[in-house]
Amino acid sequence: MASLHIENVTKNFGSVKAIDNLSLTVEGPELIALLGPSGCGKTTLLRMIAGFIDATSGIIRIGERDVTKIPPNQRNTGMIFQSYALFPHMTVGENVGFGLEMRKIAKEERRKLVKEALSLVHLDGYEDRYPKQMSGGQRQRVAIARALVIRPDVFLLDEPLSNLDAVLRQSVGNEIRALQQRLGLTSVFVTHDQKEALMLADRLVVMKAGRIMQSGSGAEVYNRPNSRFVASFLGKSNFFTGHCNGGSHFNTTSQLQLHCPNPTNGAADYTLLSVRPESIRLGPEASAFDNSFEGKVERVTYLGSLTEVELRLTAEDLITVQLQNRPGQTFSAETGANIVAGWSSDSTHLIAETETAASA
Amino acid sequence: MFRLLASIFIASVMAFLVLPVIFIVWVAFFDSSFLTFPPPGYTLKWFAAAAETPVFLNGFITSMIVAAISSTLSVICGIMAAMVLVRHEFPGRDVLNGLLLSPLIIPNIVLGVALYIFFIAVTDLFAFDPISSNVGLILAHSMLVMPWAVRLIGANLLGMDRSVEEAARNLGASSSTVFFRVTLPLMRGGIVAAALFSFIISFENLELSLLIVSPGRTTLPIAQMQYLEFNMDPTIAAVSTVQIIVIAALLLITDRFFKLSRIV
Repeated sequence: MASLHIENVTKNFGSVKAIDNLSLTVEGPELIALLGPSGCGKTTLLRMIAGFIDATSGIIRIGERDVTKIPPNQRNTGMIFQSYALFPHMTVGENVGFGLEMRKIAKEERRKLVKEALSLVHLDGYEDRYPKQMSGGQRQRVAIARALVIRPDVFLLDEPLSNLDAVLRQSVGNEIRALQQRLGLTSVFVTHDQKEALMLADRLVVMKAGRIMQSGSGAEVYNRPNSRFVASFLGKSNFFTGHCNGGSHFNTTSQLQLHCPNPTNGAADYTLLSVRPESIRLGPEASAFDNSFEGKVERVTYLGSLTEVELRLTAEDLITVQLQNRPGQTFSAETGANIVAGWSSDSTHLIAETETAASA
Repeated sequence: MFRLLASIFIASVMAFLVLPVIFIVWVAFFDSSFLTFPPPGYTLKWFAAAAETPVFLNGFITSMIVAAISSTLSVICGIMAAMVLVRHEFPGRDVLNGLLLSPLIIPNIVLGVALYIFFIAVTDLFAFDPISSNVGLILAHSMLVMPWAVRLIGANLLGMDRSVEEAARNLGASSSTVFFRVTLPLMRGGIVAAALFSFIISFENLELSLLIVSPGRTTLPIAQMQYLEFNMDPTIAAVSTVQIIVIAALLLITDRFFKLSRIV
């Protein structure tokens, strides 16, 4: 079983630190998603693993092999590109067979392996077509077959779904996940789309400014973000700034008294409290929660399955509430109306902002 | 109303451009040794006369050889120059780019004079006279068409998706394999366009060639000019017609490989 180790890797572009002393291990059949806004270094990191960018310092190992100084063609990684990157002047069969040809595999054997690989992505019999005769989804599947036929030690995906429409994104995404699990591939997936990351990855690695901000399963990162950045990058969140008194009370700078769970780390200085918009209820049922406040409706936005309400609690605190729409049960309120909002202290999450300050 | 005026304007411009060409081709078939209207009849004899005139035949062959070799040379250099200019950042890149394009800015006659003087110096220094053979002409034409080759191939390279080359590298290809198996085939459009365009420019060049041909060794455009000094019969129209057909055919082929509208 393959593995990937990134140890204290730094990449400087001039005076800019694209990757800043980053360490990461991907073990066995794990698929991790590098997630972050553009410029966070996620693509740089992927390209460093593939060998297209040299590390300024640090070590990259694939399995037991130190590949830090090894050129891309000798790393045995399989990469999927956003633009598919098929060879337009070669047939599908030649495209998929290219890596095998480079590995000096005999023609007969090659043909057999190409056929198998195409069958893996449900493109049996497409050997003689040219890429331009195929749809975007088919092209990306050819690219997947081409990358997997060489039995790569690490499978690298650079925003593989972003050129596809919503329906194809789902199906190609599912296909990638199924193949990855079936073949037990150690995989790194780069995306700026949190939905893709949540859909495909075993583990999310949220990056910012060349560093890892948080790493964990989707539920872990979503429910227990360790910084304002992670909380607002993955989904939406409402933040209250203030101070946790060490017990289960949080006093905001806007003089609200909030109930919160007991801090897990007594020593940490929790200055931020986050509440997800879907945890908040409005109207009569809201008064039953241990946190309930009256606010003024500023905006109501209908979003199909959801209705989003912006509610002003104080001059400083404008919260967003997401309500699930059900038939005959769509929320409506006049702008300017007063309404009660409430949420359970269990659904709030304390953040010690110092971590963000250190990474920013 | 505006559409009508625009159409009339466009039609007049087209007529202005195309009529002289049509006229020359028409005259080539006139059965009369001097220009008369209306023509007394039509004949193919001027084409035969052109083929039997040694200066035209030799000029045609010289022009073809010079154009073929200089366009090949300029394409090879153009590929190398475009790879460097498009793919790499280095100090002096703009200077190199400017140098490679400079033959476009300098008047042909000036280039011709400069090269003539240069070739004389070369003859003195190395006891080898480039002008006494086609070597001087080929070198001069290579320089003349170089900007086109660099531009066309460079434009092609600029539009190329680099991740295709990275994919090849990722699949185990060495840099040289990537170049020959992926980059070069993908540059085909630009290369074919550059070759044909260079060929045409060299084939029809007069001014630069004038100064660096030796007596008795002329290109087709020079032969035409010299013939016109003393003769005014349709032979010259027949020669021009052949020339027009060669160039038009090449332009059509070029356009098929590389949309000319992208660079003109």
